[in-house]
Amino acid sequence: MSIKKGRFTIENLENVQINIGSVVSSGKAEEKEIPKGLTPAPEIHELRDWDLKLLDRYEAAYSPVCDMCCYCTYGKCDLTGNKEGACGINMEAHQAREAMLRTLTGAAAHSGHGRHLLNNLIERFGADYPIDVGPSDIKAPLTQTIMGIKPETIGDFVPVLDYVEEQLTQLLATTHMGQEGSAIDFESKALHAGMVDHLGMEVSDIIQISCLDMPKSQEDAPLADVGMGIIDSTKPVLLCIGHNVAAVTYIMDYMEEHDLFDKIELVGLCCTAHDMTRVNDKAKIVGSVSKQLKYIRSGIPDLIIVDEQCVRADMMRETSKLHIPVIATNDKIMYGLPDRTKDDIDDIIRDLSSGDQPGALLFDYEKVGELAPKLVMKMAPIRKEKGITALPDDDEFKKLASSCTMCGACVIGCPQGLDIDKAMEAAAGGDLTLFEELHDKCVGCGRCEFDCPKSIPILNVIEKAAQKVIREEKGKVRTGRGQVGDPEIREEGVNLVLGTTPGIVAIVGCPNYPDGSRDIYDIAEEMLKRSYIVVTSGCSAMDIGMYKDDDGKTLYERYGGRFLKGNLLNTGSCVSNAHISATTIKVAAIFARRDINGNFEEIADYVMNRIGAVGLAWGAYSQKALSIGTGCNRLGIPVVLGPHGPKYRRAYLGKPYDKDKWNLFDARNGSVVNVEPAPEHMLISAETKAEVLPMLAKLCFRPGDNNLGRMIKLTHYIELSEKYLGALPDDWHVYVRSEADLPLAKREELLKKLEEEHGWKIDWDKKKILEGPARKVDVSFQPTNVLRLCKGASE
Amino acid sequence: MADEFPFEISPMFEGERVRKDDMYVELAGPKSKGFELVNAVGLDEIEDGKFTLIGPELSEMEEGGRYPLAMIYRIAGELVEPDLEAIVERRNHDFQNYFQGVMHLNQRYDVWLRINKDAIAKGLNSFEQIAKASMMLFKNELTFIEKIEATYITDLAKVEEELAKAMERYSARDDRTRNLHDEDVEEFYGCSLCQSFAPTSVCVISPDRIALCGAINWFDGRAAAKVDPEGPQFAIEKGECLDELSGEYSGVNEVAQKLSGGEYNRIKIHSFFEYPHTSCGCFEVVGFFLPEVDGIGWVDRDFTGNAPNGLAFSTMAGQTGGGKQVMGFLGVGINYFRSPKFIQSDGGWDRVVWMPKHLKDKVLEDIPKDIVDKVATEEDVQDIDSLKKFLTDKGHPIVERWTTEEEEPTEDESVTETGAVSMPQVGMPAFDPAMLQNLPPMTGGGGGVKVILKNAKVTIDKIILSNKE
Amino acid sequence: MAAKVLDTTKNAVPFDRANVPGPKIAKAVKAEVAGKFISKAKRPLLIVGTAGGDDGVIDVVKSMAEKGIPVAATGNSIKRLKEEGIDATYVNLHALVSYLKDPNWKGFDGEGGYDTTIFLGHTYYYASQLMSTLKNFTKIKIISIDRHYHPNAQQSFGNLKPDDFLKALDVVVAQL
Repeated sequence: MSIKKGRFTIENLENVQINIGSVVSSGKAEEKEIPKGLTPAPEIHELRDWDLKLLDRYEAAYSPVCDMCCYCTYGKCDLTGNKEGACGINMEAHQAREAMLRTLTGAAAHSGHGRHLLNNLIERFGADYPIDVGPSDIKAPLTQTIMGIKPETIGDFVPVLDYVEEQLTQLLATTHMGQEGSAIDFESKALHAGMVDHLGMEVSDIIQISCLDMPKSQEDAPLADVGMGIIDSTKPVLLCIGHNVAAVTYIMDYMEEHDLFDKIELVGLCCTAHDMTRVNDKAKIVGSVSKQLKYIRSGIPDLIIVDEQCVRADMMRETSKLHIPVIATNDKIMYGLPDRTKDDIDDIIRDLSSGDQPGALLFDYEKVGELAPKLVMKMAPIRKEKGITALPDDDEFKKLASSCTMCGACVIGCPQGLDIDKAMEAAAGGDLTLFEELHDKCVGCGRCEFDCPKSIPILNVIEKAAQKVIREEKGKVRTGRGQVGDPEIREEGVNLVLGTTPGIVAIVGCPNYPDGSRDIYDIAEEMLKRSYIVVTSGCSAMDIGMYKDDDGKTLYERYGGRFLKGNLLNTGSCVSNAHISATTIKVAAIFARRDINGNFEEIADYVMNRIGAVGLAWGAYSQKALSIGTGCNRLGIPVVLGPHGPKYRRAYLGKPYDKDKWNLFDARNGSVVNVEPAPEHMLISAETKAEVLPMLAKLCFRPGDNNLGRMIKLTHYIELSEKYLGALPDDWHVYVRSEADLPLAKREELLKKLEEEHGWKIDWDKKKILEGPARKVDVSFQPTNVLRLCKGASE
Repeated sequence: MADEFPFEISPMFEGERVRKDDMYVELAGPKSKGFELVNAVGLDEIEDGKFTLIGPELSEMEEGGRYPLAMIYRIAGELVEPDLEAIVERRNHDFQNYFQGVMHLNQRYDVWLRINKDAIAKGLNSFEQIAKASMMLFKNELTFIEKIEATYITDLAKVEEELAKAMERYSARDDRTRNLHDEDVEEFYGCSLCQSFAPTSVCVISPDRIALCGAINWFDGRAAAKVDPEGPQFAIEKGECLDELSGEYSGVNEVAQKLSGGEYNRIKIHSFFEYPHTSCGCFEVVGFFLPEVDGIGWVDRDFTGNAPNGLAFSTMAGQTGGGKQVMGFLGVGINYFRSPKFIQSDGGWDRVVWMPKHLKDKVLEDIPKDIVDKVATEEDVQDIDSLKKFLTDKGHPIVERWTTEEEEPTEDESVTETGAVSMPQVGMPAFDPAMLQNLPPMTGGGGGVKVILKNAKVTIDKIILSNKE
Repeated sequence: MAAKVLDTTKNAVPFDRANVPGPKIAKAVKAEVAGKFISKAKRPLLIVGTAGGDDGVIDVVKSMAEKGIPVAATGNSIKRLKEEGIDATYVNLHALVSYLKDPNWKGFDGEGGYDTTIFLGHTYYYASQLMSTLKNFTKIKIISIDRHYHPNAQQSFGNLKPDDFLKALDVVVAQL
């Protein structure tokens, strides 16, 4: 019997619940979408249960930067040894508060950028402008999961940012005196801030992708040139620094209309550079935030446009010394400059080019678009004639190097503790090699100069010494492609299931590397060779593209850009990081048909138990990096930081030795299953590249792994540990549930070890493990932390 | 054991390429002769681990040279049978690529190997090392192999002699595969590997229906089930054939109930409309029902445009998958088009009305000659109306199914008009009114069917009230 | 030859200029004092960073291990340590300080926690930050015998030149 079109009668209604959404008179045009789901637009406390589950397993571990609290005038208070301050807050809660405040700052940066962009784009394109991110049905995964709505136009994001901003305000309010008193609830708030950050980022990137014609889930986005060595300094150089590309698009439009791309080198630093290339592939990327001061000192830029985030606070002091005018286009960075928005372009050009004024604020972007090219073409001949640079000539260089007394103050002032004095000594003797090596490890902060008793402009010396190396700094980075498309995820599903793809490694974030930029290239290359999917963004994406193999090819040229095993994807700028977490949501929606609408806890639970993804922010320095990491953590994605990481004050560490912490439910029947520690930690740091490589492999294990997946993951964990740490890892056997989990090539050898070293019982005829593993494999096991998701169980 | 070989063995060397300048020797390949073959033999016919070489040894070969190579493995074991030969043979390619410095391409008589100079420098000097490493991996993974022997041949005359025999073997296998159908076997195989991502997904793999990921066919399933009967690939006793046309079997239904966690309890493996086979999400093609023409269209992952119903692949794909049976959409692998039982329950190819051109080209040879020109592509039609016209003009068999349209049900009739309906017992997700148009049309008038809604939750987004004019 | 007495208490300023944590900072100690302090520990743990594998330093690690002090090898020091035949266990430093804080952690030998941690061979700012965890949240004694002044330890050398550093380590070992 089947039901077909036509007419039938319902004879009986038994236990039927009818829920009516809204009753309106016909004619009312109201077409507002009603948010769906369990926790749409959650307030601070609504996902707290989930947070508490996370925090129970991954304890917040604090490493205070400062033992005191100086928030109020009762202080400063000494909290050493977990004492309490005048208001009753103890060290633990204060550190949690500090970490939450950093997370919040990062979230505000991204979301403020988003609101600014949204206002600008609605003005230009209209609120009805449709969203277009590529061939996906799930266009805004984070928005759907967090808000419970499915946006179709950019205007649909207005209530999303309203929600974001309300959360930011409430969260910031809790940093006031006498608010939250408990560390664990500060952590829950931090996780909330992190989640809000990802939402703000998604909005920012989706709207610019849709309106500004950026690549839409495009795997073969063009390759952009990156590096200080690629810039043609004989032309006028227009440098844009920051993260918010809005104003720069007007400049690019003007340059297109007037055919100026041949005449002007339009270059960018930081994420603005990424987004510039996504809009117009004629733009070039100088590099990451580490290059900022170095590039300014070189004297090559003839005009600098700044917007927001990661811009040097001493911009005006540095640029006025070198006659580089500065135009500020965003009220987050104004430098005390005069607001000339209403003034005539020619007047501004005259004042800036003559040197009468060092810069100006200009909030009218149409004017910026016209003024910048005109001004830079005027400045260039003036500056080039003078040959302005901060770098010393050869004689001056020798004098400066020789004046060093080897006092070591610069080494103490350097965030990396680089041996600047040794390099200076060698250079005085005519040997530049130490400086050439040091140049890449130098993050261009300039602190050394303030400490030098001889007032040697050390950064200038480093850059001058490394000129040869700098000229060769020519890399390629694939233009930010935006999201990962639904069809790509479907195709990759087979590899994830069959274990052909051992995991996803997201190498993202800032360039405060402990030992230069080559580390992340090496890490990316090693993981790509092993068929991991490597995703990247921001400064890391640029640095990964700076190194080449023996054939002169960068990683982006050697590996494809599809969401497929052994591929390298650049999502784009910092706000594009949202697409990385969004991809895990798409997997839950596409493969498990989970209803993602307003359903954060269930999705995070799915991600944490099944999707082998790990983030690596090797050089994380900013508050934004912490908010991105914390947002990943709430979604169940572990993150590893470099050795500067503990300066964020708080990590989320698991206790692999405490079995009670690793209990999950089987959703099929609510029974409790004790699992291996996977992922072992949520937020942790490592000291060196060699240490972090096997760690990345280990953090891709998940309780939901089938045999094939576990076998491949374990193979790489063991191989990486042997290669970089010289030994089998001590805990490899913890991740063995059956003989099918054992790496193929070493199966016999490992079975022997299990028997001899761990006392497991092996059936040597059938090569099967009889006794030993903590649990058996059952691919139908449905791991969950959430009791209400279990059949037949009630919370 | 792995330590005894002069080369590293790891999946990370899979993609390794050996270029001409780097190669020490090239073996078989397009400019020479060679093949790889696995034969199932009796336990008493071979000696475990034995290696025989006929022809020049690797150390005797000249650098930069090209030589023929045949690799013959003979396997034996209680569970070993000829049907497993192809499965084992295919692994030779994977395993030999795991060896650092060895590149292995293709299969059967197309095999093509190159060995890197570096590998020679590190101590690789004999085919015995390669063969022994291969045999070790075979035994490690495919534990039903109790004994294995390898014979490598690098003498041209001998290679050619054995090649002729090998060709017969391959041909016999192909015949068996081609002629093996659902009705010929007692067991199907289930695969639940995807459950690590899609908890209720189970594929039923029969000779006429290969897993939709394309990675596992009936023989693969059989081999894996022999390795680990309690593992993710397992035998399903067919049981009683409840309906041959649609492919419904009592044994399959039992398994369905158990492994889907009660989501569904019947599967008709060759049906589109009724109790269809589920998918996890990685299907290459999604089929969709077009009620306006009572036909089925197909669109694949790579097609970026819209189907005649105005929807794109991702949107329609989003309606199905996740291990759930959903009416009106069906995810399949491209290889299902090649099955002789392709949706035979619903008319097979006679029910297919539209597919993208590049997809049609891919499966052109498998489309029956009498229908192939009548299936429209995006080059022929862009919407429903032009599709209707096309089908009529071409005389597509679907036209015969078109009856006069039934009356639209009136307002006070079905609850189904007004909003989302979710029926948890049948395991279907809530779907919006647009989807209901995709239900197959009802023939005959009302009054014949009694419907009781039990434990149903009706959610109405909006009720619009207006005064009756 | 009369050796000049090595004074390891000089130059006791943080090696990162602004790394001044608060009112409680490490006392600069002489090498002999450090050595005696370590020898009195009931459950000492030598925590070695990646630079612990450097020439000169690794010999010291070996000596201390041979004297029965358990060695936690952090960073990628385990590679060099194992090559030298030193009995050490790999652990991540960030995770280690968290485990040390846990009264339920039974240590590497399963016999219980540690009462004294000895830091050697670390990236300066990394170890300094993580010592802060031990300093603020445990009663575990922290002594740094590393080359630079660590304010978050209880006892530390001042900033030493490389030669003096190795000499100081020899003096420490001699006390054990």
